[in-house]
Amino acid sequence: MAPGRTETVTPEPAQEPASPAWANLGRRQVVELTLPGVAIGLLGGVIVGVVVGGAGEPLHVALFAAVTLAVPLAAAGAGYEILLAQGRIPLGVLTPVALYWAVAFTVSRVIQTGLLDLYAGSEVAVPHGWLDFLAYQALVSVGFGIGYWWLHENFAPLWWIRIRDRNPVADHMVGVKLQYAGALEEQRERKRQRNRASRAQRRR
Amino acid sequence: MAHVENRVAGPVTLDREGEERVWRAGRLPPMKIRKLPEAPTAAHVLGPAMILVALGVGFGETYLWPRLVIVFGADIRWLFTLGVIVQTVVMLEMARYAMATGESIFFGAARVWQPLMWMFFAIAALVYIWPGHISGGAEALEEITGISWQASATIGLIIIGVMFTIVRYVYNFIEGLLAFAVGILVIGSAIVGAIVGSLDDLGTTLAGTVRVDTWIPSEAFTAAFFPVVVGALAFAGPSGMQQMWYTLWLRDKGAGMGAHVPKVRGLLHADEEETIPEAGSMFDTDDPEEMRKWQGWRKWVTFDALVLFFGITMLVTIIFTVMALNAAELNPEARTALLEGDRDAALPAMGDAFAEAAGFFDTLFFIFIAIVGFKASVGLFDAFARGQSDMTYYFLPGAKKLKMSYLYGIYLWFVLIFGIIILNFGPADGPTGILDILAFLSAFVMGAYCLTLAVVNNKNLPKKLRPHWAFTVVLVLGGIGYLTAIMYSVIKYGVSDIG
Repeated sequence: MAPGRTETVTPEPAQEPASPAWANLGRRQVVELTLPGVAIGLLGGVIVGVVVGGAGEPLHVALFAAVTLAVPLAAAGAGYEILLAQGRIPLGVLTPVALYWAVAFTVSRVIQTGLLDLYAGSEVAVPHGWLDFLAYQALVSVGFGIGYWWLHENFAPLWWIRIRDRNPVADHMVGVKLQYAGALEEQRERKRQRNRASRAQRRR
Repeated sequence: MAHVENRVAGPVTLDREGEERVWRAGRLPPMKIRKLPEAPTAAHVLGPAMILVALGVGFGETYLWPRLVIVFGADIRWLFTLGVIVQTVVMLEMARYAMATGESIFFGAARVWQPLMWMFFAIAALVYIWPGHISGGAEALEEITGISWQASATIGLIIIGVMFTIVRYVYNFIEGLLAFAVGILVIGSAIVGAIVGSLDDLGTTLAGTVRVDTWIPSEAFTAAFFPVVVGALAFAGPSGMQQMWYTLWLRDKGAGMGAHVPKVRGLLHADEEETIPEAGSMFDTDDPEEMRKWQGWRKWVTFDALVLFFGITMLVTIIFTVMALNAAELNPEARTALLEGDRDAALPAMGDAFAEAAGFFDTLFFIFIAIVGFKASVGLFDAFARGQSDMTYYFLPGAKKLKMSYLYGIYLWFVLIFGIIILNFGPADGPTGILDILAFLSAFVMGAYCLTLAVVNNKNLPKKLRPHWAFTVVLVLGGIGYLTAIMYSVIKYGVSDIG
């Protein structure tokens, strides 16, 4: 038996920078591209709102908690999508996502907690001090980063497929995503058509 | 949703005499030598580990382990780490067999000794017809909303049945649904952890996760708590037969040689099912190009195992432990109540403990338990029907007259209808009673499949594809460990109820 070539593994598909396409995008197209990141950020705010509201806190408190976290997270999500579209962050790789959110999530929590301090007029939000708070948030942000990456990998491509006809950057993303599956998808479609044809023939 | 969709049904290769080349393993039909599809790039296509994570991150991480931490402190968490490490190795080895052959581990076990496979069939039938997870989730929902757990669980079961009946490809549907549920769970856990925890709690939790010198507290060696520790160990990561079913999801995902087997369809689309081969297939391990592709598949599944499975499981449980530590600090009475109280009172006692820590903690805890219960049910009912129909189709004489998708539908609706009857008219045992039976057999079956997997991969696969000896050792020790723990619990304390 010939020895196996363990040194060569499946090559990563080269992700060509989307920047040329990015340069020609209109404002509406840019907004469209940011939607997945904005949606996940808002989702974070909704979770906080539901938890706080569901626990019987007054509506204004739940809303305050939700909005003050949702807005910075959504803004950071939009920023991530723009960097991705510009080709500055590679598509689908976990580490850059985690690093990005280590900063963005911590800043979002600082904004939320700062506003909460002003709103509540006390130090309830950071009982162990700001240094402890910052370090802890940076560590927990890894969790948020993984969750963001997970949702983004699973659901952003569905959005890109919807807008690919009118958005060249989305089209580029879909192209990278479907690099492997494209030819095989066609093969499956041909098979489906053959099955349909043979069923139709049987009916006759 | 990105899919592998590498269903390249390459032709069977021929030898010099023009005969079909095959790989023989056991007395069952040989595996024909076919082409291995190209592997996807790990970072671009998520694998079925996601479903395993969706099922695995459940009662163990959100309920059993936080409960142990409240009682014994974070030092006991090293046992959880140990359990998840063993499960990661199991996952990699399950994937090895499924991707190399396109067969389920049940088929692999039958190649070794067919009664072994029927034993797993019987255990699945005994354990998984009980609607334990959905009733547990429904009880948590009742704590929040007051809606009777029987009513919400019954409605949940009917919705699950309808969903799996009308979809074209069951796997695609369940993958999308559970991907969303896991995403919410991870992001939700991180945000809540960020709001309620502290650096001190996190430090204590992380230290407890890796420090083995603390051993096991003496209070754990009692009739009341040793079985609970064993149960929690079994619930660290995927419990029971979930790892075995993972091989079926891999096949439906089209991973490795699974690409040569048609997907399971929803009942309404069963008549569209393609012809299923009589056995799995094997690729040419003498061909360097095929081995290159194999390494690609191993890389893909390793990424799944380490980042998705190990990473997310540890992450969620660390955050829940931080919450539990916070609760225990602020509510010492909860610890006493959990130590002295009966196990039926554990769920409300946990809620009380969390409520003391922060106003919304108890609600949050019950929300998570409800999500976990319903989420697990979606995956488990699919998995049960998938596993039983696979074994029936291949090994019950005459079953091949029915399509696999019909068998799947029959098993699915059987377990759902049985569940509805038990929930509404069965013995009023309550959710914990049902879970206790499941937990006991979980530990047993986990020991059994670890040992079976070690034999299957070392006996059924060509030498080049067999596992490293260290992985085999982990499987054997893991199997012995699970079986010893459950037997010790029964013999020493006479307790088989490990919930």
